[in-house]
Amino acid sequence: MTVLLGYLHEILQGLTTTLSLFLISLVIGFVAATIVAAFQIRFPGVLAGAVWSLMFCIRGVPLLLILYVVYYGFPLLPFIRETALWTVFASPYWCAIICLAFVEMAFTSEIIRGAYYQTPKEQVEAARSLGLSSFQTFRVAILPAMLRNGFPPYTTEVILLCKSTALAFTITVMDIMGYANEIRARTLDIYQPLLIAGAIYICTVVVTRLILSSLFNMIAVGGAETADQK
Amino acid sequence: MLDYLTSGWGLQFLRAIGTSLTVAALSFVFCILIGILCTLLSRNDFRGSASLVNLYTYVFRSLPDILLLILIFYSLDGAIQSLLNRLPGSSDIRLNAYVPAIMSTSIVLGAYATELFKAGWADIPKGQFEAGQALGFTRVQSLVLVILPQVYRKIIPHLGSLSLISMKETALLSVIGIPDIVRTASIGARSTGSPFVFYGIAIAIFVIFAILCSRVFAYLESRARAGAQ
Amino acid sequence: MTEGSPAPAIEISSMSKWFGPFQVLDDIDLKVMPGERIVVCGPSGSGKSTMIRCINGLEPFQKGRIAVHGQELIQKARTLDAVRKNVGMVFQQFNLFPHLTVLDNCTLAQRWVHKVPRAAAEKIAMAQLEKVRIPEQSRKYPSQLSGGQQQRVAIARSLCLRPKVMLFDEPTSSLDPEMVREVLDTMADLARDGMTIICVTHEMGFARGIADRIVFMDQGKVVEEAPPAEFFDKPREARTRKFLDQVVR
Ligand SMILES: Nc1ncnc2c1ncn2[C@@H]1O[C@H](COP(=O)(O)OP(=O)(O)OP(=O)(O)O)[C@@H](O)[C@H]1O
Ligand SMILES: [Mg+2]
Repeated sequence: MTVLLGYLHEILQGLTTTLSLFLISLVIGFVAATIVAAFQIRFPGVLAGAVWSLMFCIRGVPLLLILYVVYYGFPLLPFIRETALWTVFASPYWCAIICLAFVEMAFTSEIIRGAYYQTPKEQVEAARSLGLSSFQTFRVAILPAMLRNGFPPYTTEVILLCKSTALAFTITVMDIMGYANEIRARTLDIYQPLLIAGAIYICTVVVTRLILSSLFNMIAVGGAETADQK
Repeated sequence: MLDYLTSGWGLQFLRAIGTSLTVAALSFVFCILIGILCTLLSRNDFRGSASLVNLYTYVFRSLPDILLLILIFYSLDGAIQSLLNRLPGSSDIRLNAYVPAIMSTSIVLGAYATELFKAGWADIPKGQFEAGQALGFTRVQSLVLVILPQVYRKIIPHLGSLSLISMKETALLSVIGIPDIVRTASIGARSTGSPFVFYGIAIAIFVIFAILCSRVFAYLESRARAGAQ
Repeated sequence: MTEGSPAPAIEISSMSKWFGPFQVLDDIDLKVMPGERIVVCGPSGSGKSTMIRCINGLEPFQKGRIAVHGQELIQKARTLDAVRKNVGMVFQQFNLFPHLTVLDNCTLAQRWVHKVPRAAAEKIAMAQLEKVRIPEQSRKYPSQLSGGQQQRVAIARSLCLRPKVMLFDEPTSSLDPEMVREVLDTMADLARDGMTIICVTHEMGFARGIADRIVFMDQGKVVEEAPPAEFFDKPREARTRKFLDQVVR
């Protein structure tokens, strides 16, 4: 029991790293995804097609490979090694965040795009016919529908991101997985450290789900109310 | 780049592609089987079997895949090593790493497949089951001839992303020392000093697979759409 | 129904059924002779569907017995299969298999349940599709047909298995009015060919035209059972009269 508590204590040292990896890349990824998706929606054409293809390719490549490329490959590029960028790419932690956010951007932009194109045309036309400007139309007719349609797949994506942060240990980041794996290698005790880490990840996901679902209820209900008032 | 490919690395990559594709294909098949089985279980009358399935999908959609892989790899490795020591004759120990790899990938993807099949199943009208019964099909016949083809049609696009995920999951094999695409690329990158060629090849392989995958499943979907709607 | 008449096609005796605490069927007795055409009617929720679903084992019942051509219905896979081979069923919602063509819908059960070779099964299917007058649609998928056509395919699909008894549960209720006729005509053809039929329907004209007997159900009981002329013109029970007032106008 004391051994277990010792492990728990040691592994929990990685909790802030795991959580910050998760949250920072979530925010960066979301902002980038919004920009990418807005670009594709606002300026349809060859360029948007190219952006979509790029996102498609990113979605097809494993995160682990991207981590390796950025962490082991980028330092060899002169323009990274010899500029201020080096401070960022020398740190495995920031490499992990950049990679996670990069991949998150590719998946989330597609969710946003999907949610946008699922919005029923009639609602947009109805709002337009009421004389609303295009921004008002977006706020009143499109955004609420996008939130409702996009939230469930986004929840899945957020949880996938949370799980993916565990890969950061492969480039020496000491997150929960990193500590657990270190204990495993040091003590040759397989089950206890890994199961503790697993339990922590599951708790994180449970909390994330709770937060997201209460957020969704708030937004969904609020959206319905504004729709009723109009 | 051609120099590298002709100087033995080409063969290495071909082998790696074979390894990754094999593991991905097996995991895909197993996860589909798990999905069907768990869906049947969760629709069973037995109390508790549905909640057991829910627990399974919840846990394995929350647990990092890499954690499960390492857990299974080291615990199975211990068991197999001690077994091998007792058995006469030497077997290829490297081969054994594939078992935990396929196991962990199948378990994780099985949780997603279960959610998928459950959703597809729930969409099928009760009348379809009854028509099957009334025509005298056995349970298994009804499942294979009537229900599964309809579930399949509903979930084809998701099966496409599932197959893409199972391919991407093979990247994790490099962590436990299986010479998959990612591991081959990193070894090449390190030993030749030109990482971008090797990582570039690996990325190209995955991108090509993603494109092929989306083409194949788009075709399957259009074929299924052709008549039945 | 005199003594010494031939064996009945369907015999239901003192059958009762509960959904949990709620009694849906209360002591049902019904005897149907081969070739007889029975129409079952009654208000919504009176248990009509439940009764005919019991006849081919889609619903279990708790008391009494049902026998189809002498074969008693027990909730065992083997006897159920034996009974279902004799009983065809047509549903309100058609329940065609959407992933199969019309022809494949008609051959699937023949090939897998009765082990008929493909070519022979297709020949039988085409013959039945001709009987319901849509052989030209055989390569289409159900979604490409009108409701009336779909229901006729469903009838053909059942007939392919050469059932001795056909059960219909409101076969025209989910059809657009202009398609009701074609389905009723198909059923009338079937009746003329001597098929034993039990049909739940609100089509009183059809009932009067082809039924040998009309069974009126209310609150899980068979309230009245009479030939059409008697049933429509001088019903014995007050509840029947009330029902008829609502339905026939
Ligand atoms: N699976 C079930 N569980 C519980 N109650 C049921 C179930 N199926 C039917 N019932 C109830 O049994 C009663 C009889 O249903 P049934 O479908 O046999 O009526 P019906 O005469 O066919 O009516 P309708 O004309 O509306 O089709 C109804 O009160 C219904 O609510
Ligand atoms: Mg009914």
